[in-house]
Amino acid sequence: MTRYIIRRLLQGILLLLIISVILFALTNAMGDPLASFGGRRRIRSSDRERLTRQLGLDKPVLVQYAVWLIGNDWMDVDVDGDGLPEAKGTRRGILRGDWGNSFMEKRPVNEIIAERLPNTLLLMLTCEVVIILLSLAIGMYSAIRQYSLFDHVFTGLSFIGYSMPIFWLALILMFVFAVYFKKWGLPIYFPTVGKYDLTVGPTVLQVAWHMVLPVATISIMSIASYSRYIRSCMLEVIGQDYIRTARSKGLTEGVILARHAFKNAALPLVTIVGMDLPLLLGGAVVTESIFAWPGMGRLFWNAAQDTDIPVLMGVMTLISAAVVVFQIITDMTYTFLDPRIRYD
Amino acid sequence: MKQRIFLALVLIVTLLPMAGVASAAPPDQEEVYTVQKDDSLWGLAEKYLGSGSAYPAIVMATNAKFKEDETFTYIADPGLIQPGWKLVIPGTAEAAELLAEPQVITMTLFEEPDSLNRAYTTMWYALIVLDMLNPGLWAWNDNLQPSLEMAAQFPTKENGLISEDGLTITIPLNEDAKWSDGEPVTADDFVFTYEMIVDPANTVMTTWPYADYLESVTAQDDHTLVLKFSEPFAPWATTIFDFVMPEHVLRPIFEAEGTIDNADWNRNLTVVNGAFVLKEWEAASHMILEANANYWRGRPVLDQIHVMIVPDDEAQMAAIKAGDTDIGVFLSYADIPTIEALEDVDVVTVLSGYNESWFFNLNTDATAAKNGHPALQDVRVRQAIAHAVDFDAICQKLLFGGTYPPGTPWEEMPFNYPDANLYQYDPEKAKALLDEAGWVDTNGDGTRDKDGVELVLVYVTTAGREVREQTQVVAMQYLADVGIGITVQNGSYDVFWNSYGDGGPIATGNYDIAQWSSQAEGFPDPSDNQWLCSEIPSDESPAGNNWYGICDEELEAPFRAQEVEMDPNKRIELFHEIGRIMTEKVYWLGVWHDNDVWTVNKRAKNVKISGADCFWNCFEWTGM
Repeated sequence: MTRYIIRRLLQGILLLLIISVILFALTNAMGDPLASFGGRRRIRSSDRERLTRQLGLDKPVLVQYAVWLIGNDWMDVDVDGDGLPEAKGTRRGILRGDWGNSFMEKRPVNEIIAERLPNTLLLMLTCEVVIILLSLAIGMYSAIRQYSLFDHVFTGLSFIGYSMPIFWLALILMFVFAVYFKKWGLPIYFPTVGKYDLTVGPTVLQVAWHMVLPVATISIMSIASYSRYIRSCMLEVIGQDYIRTARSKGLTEGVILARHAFKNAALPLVTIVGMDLPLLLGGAVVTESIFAWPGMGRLFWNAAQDTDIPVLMGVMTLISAAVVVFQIITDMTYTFLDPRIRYD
Repeated sequence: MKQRIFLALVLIVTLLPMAGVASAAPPDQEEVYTVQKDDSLWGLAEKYLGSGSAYPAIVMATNAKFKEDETFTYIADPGLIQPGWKLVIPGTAEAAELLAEPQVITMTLFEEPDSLNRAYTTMWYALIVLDMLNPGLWAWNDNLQPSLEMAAQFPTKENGLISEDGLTITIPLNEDAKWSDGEPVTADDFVFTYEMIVDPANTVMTTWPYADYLESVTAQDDHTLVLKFSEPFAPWATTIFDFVMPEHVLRPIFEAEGTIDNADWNRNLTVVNGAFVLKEWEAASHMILEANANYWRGRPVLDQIHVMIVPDDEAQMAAIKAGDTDIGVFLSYADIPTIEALEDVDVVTVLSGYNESWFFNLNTDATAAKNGHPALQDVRVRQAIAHAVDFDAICQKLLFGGTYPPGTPWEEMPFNYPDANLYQYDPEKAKALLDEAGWVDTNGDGTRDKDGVELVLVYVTTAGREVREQTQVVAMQYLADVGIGITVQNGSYDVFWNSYGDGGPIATGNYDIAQWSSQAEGFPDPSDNQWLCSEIPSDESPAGNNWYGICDEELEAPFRAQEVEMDPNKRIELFHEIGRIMTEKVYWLGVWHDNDVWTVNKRAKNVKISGADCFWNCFEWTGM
């Protein structure tokens, strides 16, 4: 077993290297980082040349990748952009823990990510918990009471919820529950944007209140699809022979569900959650933008628009590493949950 | 909100009508008061609350009561109350509570600044935040006149601060100006700023115009700054020292690290000279600015400004409607009807110097790839185009009547040529001009031709902006009606404005008509070098800005003259001449006058937004 884990980890490292090469090639093909430097005013051509050299963007892509990976403090770089390298570089490369500096904000990428990550985790973990609880509840109840009114209603709602475009859903929730509730003078209305009310401060109540609409937006779509999945798994499990055996043994329905059906039906959910968890790090791009939630999704979106390569590489490397690690963890979890699965 | 409900309950319980009877002791309970002739809020506050400056409490209590009972008035302007209005005068305790609430104005921005050091950013959102934190010598107010900040006087030839040859400018500095830590702002700060900008060790965004035009920047004494130019530079007042760095904070960093690129001050602005200090900045979420007690005009009335970063424009609209933001930014003309329907929000359009323009490719040099369509060389064809397209209708239909076609690039400024709107929508005249120029449809395919060349023009703008693409569709129809064919070839905005050296599509002549929103670089200064012969880019000089290939001696003369003309009236005359030539020869066509559209909630008072330094008067803002 240990050998299996070690083998998977080594494969994971190799995989990450290959992924980073592909990601670097793709981000560099996306566009010109310097194009976003001129805000409302164009910057001069001579400034662009200088900035290109100072940021090391005039070097071939392979050299830029090597610098990203292992740094440039072993070679001379052009600090003042005049075309002549004169001093040793200051970057140590990601393998030594230096994630580089953002082109736009000119500060370390890991600092930027560290600021946004807690906000994203707060939002996404809450969503994940809500999604798991609600989809299990809805899916299982729908399966147990198949073709009942509850089942039909929630099947319909699932289809509606799943087909709604997320930006539309986010805006509808915002307009109805925040703008119109307030306009109609209802005693409870939600805030429109932001993480908390600046005049009140970042209290737990404020943040929780501001999280309701974004969490609802993200969760509705996932609950719609996962509850269907749980429902079908549950139906399959209920039809199994061992359930009939348990019934014929005289166990009550409740005990059967809790001890036998639930665990077997929930097992595929482990795979899904295992795939979802690393993607949580990427945040929800659209929802975060609409609700002005300062998370990783927005960071990634802005970086993609500005072709801020160090930030893009940082975020994607983080997510890739998380995916690889969580795949291994998920596979390990399976061996605990399902005795039929063994690796050698 | 809860306090206002409480106040209302108190009022209902203890309703004591007191019709304007002067009482010596301030009441402890609220009362309803009817305004008499010659009353003022200041006087009422003096009489009832003991101090005139407590008048905001009366305004806040009355406006809160208005929401429940419309017989009370909504006080929109504390300076103007009418006899007969019903007001609520709160008791002293309530008044104290109301006044203790911090006065806050909230605004939303689409992007957060990438840096708060003006040398390191060109981002518009950073510049407008810096208006409140770090002004320079002066700020350009909403009438595009200088409002003095760090400078004590505005230099002109009359007051002798500009030398006869225009090359030496002496600026006396404001002796009251201080940094927020108490250190005085001196000429050394400005000299240091100049040194940092031109020093190659600093990765600044641009060194223009400091490196190009300034021969030296010296401190004659602590409060006198002397600028020496190497050649006369007309836009000096709008482009030089629009901010200043604190030497006492940054010089030690520069000396220790050899560069100020990584200085904490660039983001944290620990020390400022503006009306507000940066109290808090949570990345991607918000910034909180607090009143600066050391501001040279005195502490601003407003306690805090909250800047929220809201990337989505629909979300901003929701926030405006819900009142979660007082100032909304960068709305489109299509939003104006929605905002006007709201009772408590005003639409403010601000002259920003931008005009959505059509530029023609008039290149005729040896490099065929760069040349425009030969038909464009004939002024009659350009005049025909001007007559063929109904720009007024475009503004009415696509922009909801929110704006109008400008006459010259200097529309709404004194530099605008008054008789610029020569070309009314007249398709018959357009056809006549084209016939006269020899372009007729000989082969019956719908487009005119001459000598075997079809009159089909390549029409280019940035892809993805809906209103531009809609304009293209409409313009194509108008031009097709007079027999001019159009091929649309839109480009991505991130490469659209690349220079000739960087292969930009416009700079390398891949267009016949190009459309974008353009502003003179030194706005509010009108000077613009993109019409000069010398600015036509080529392989030898790839950085030129004249992408249109216009080389006209008649136009060149007044442009060159205005660059060195320091007399403002003579300069206006020169620009009228320029406008006349550009209009008669149709070197430029205005599609719509692209003013910035802002929204300001009625509770935010004294907000005068400038097109140049947007928040220049934040020290006067109040919010109640």
